[in-house]
Amino acid sequence: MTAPMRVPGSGALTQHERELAARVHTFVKVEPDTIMVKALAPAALRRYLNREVSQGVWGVAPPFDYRVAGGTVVRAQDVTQLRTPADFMRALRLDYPGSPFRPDLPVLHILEFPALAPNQYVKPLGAPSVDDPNNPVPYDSDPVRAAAWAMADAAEAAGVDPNTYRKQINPWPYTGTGITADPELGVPEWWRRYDPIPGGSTIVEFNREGMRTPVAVYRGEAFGWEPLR
Amino acid sequence: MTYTRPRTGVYATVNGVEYKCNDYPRDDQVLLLSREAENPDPRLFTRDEANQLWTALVPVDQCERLADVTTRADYRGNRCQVLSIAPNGDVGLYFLGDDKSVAEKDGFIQVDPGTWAKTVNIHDLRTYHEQHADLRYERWWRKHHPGQ
Repeated sequence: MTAPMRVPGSGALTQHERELAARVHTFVKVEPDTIMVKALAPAALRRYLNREVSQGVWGVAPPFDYRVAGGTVVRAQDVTQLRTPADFMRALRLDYPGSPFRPDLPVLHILEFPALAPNQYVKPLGAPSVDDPNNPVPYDSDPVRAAAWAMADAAEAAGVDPNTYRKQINPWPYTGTGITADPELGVPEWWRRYDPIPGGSTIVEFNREGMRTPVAVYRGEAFGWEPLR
Repeated sequence: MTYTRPRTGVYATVNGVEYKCNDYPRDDQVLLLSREAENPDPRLFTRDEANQLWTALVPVDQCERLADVTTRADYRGNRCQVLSIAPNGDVGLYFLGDDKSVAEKDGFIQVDPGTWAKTVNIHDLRTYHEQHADLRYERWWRKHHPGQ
């Protein structure tokens, strides 16, 4: 007899626990002046500095636009205690399948930018899949879809503004609760539309010794990224 | 061979003419850009010789329209953002849907946290269009609904 599929993250919670998790998001907000943070893949700094706009090459380099940022982001105020690449790896769970991030990276680059328009951000609430390699859950399976709907229902029951979240199914270590998966360093996460990067945004380097060094500042569409060293 | 990139960025319409902006509005002003050979509007623009372009700093209230523009298309039924189109027809896409099981089935891969990307052929795209988010409306909303 095969073991029943166990959906991790939000799938492992009771409905009451999902509602408690969702209620957090009625208090955790993004304002126009909130500083947001995004971990950049190791090759991204060079591509930003080179003002690269590229369709990418399948299997070699992904599409890229130096003027744009989006995807999973967190608030700077929630990650002030993180100092090293390993800290960010753990708190933001950058160990997703196929990730280019490794905890022994000599440096990690972080994009810091003002939120500006809160409606560019949504909470990813839903369900993950594939936690246990011995009991993998395909993320198009009925249990995953049911858990995602249950999390969306919990958000509605908790009074989370429906304009501020979206029901998403992503691979583990996405949790579906809107909080990253580390039990100690987990932080609220958002998904940002791929919109222009605001002028004045900076790319900051964190090394293994915990040193924080700004390395580039964005001057807008026409002037690009200015190196700071 | 020349081609026009899919548009991404902030665009303002001033005196009936649309211009690219350098950035989002700052201090209720936007910096308009033009790379035309001639000054597009001598009442507004001055030459930035170092960067080989014309610039004009104008109040947001002087803009008839101000929009955050991105380019989108459908690939195998999935709404995507178009980043770039090469002369040979290769197109860079970011997946905009909420169900990444669909993304994976259709060959997208996760390239950074929360970003699923694929390079496809332009002939596989449908419903190619621009998405315009009205920045004047957002500005008006925040002004009249503080704290919301």
